[in-house]
Amino acid sequence: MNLILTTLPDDPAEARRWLDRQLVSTHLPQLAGELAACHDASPAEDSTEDRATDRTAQQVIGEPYSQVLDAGTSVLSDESLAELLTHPELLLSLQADVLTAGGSYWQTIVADESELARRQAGKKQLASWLAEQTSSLSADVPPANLASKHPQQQGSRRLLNVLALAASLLIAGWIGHQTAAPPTVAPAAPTNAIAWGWAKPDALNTTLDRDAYLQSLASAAEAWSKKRPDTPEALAKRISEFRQGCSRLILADHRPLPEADATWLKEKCLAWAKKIDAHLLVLETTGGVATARTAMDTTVEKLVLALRNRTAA
Amino acid sequence: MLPSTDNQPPADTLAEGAESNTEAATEASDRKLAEQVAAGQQPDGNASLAEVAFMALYDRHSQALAAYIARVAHPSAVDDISQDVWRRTWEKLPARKSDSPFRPWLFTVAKNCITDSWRDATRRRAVTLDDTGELTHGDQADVDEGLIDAEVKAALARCIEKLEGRPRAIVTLRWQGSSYEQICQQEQIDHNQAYKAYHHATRQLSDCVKRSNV
Repeated sequence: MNLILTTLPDDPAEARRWLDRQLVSTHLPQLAGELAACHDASPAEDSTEDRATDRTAQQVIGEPYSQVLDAGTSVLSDESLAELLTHPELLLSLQADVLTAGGSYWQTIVADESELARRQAGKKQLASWLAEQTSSLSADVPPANLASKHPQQQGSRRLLNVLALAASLLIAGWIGHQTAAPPTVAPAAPTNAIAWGWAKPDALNTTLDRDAYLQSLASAAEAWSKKRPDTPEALAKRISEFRQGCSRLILADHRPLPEADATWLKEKCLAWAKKIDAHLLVLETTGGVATARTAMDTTVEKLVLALRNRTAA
Repeated sequence: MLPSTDNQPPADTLAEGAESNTEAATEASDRKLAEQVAAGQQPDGNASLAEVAFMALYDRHSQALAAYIARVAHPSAVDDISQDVWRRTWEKLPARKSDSPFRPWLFTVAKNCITDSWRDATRRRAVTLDDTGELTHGDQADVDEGLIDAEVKAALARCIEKLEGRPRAIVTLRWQGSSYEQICQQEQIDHNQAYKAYHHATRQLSDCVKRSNV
């Protein structure tokens, strides 16, 4: 067993992000055990000792509690943070509320790489089971239903099904990446400290003029090719990180750009996002790294070119 | 079947996706996905669509579900129970009331799976789930206390006891949220000493806990 507490960051802001990851992790009972041991071993304290006993996390945190449920522990005071760490049962109480009543922010937090890998493995396992279920569903359809009495109706129905499926894949892809795919992040404020591309915290430099802004976006996108992941998991993570940047661009207000350029950029981003979602879906469905990476390379090349061309326009 | 990368999605599809940041839209899209899963399992339904919708629900809720299960199940059982929950969810979705929020309903399915798993194995933590499958709330301090991993607590406590006075004080202060500045002040040492002592002590503790085979 590795001690989770040894990963507690020194930086206070980073410590809160770390805590957010713990709160959505399967390892929180372990962390609570570590903290409880630590608390028992610490020198007897003063009046603060056990003041949290019999209180809920909501009572200890007070008014900012709803903000914590909406946007994470970054709003916690040092005192509240210390109290949660000193009384780990409060962390478990907070986790209960985060899991049942937490906002969409919490769906953007990825506990850690190992849990992400477990989820991907679970997804693969579930997908094969599901494939069996759906094939048996198809097999259950009576022959009379398969051979329509009206070929034209059957053709229309098939077309409708295909269209519905395509639309749903797009919806599902979009939703998946907005919410729970490998480290997805609230578009306007990435939370998982992605250090490259459009999701990088300082990627949208609003102090630049129009041309420099567009060029900076193109350069940021080119960071895609700096890493060449060779496993499905690593590539999925890389694509998802790029995709988060797309979300950020779609939702940003792009102050340095005139309205026409900003509208153009958002429309282009929506189209790029759709393509990226499709690449990720291909990867997740087939596990084909080379195919998905080549497709991503092409998309990124095109979008970089579009951004640079727009600068010249 | 995979979508063509060149297909343009309908405008309303994009609008729905763009709104999915809001809680209401998230819940609404959960419901829609759940309905698609249910409809796809009907004799004349679109099974492929159901499959994709179901995997979207998995993407969205699998992490929270695993964390929920891990609160009361043995860590080694979490993955198996998760699979069981998702499979039952697929089977039960056609009979689900479509106006109820998806995640609490999913946790109810999970509660039943966890209870079943307890019939086969000794449960690890001294807690139970309530009849509705909701997680514990309010003045449930005893229950929350019961979720703490007692084995880990005991193992680490034994290791901490082996540390000398100052390293022990530094580690426990640091792990209870004190900054290095506060530790330096309390222990009357400089930052460098505190930093070194902390990292040396955490290495000792890590090694000790690993040896304890928890």
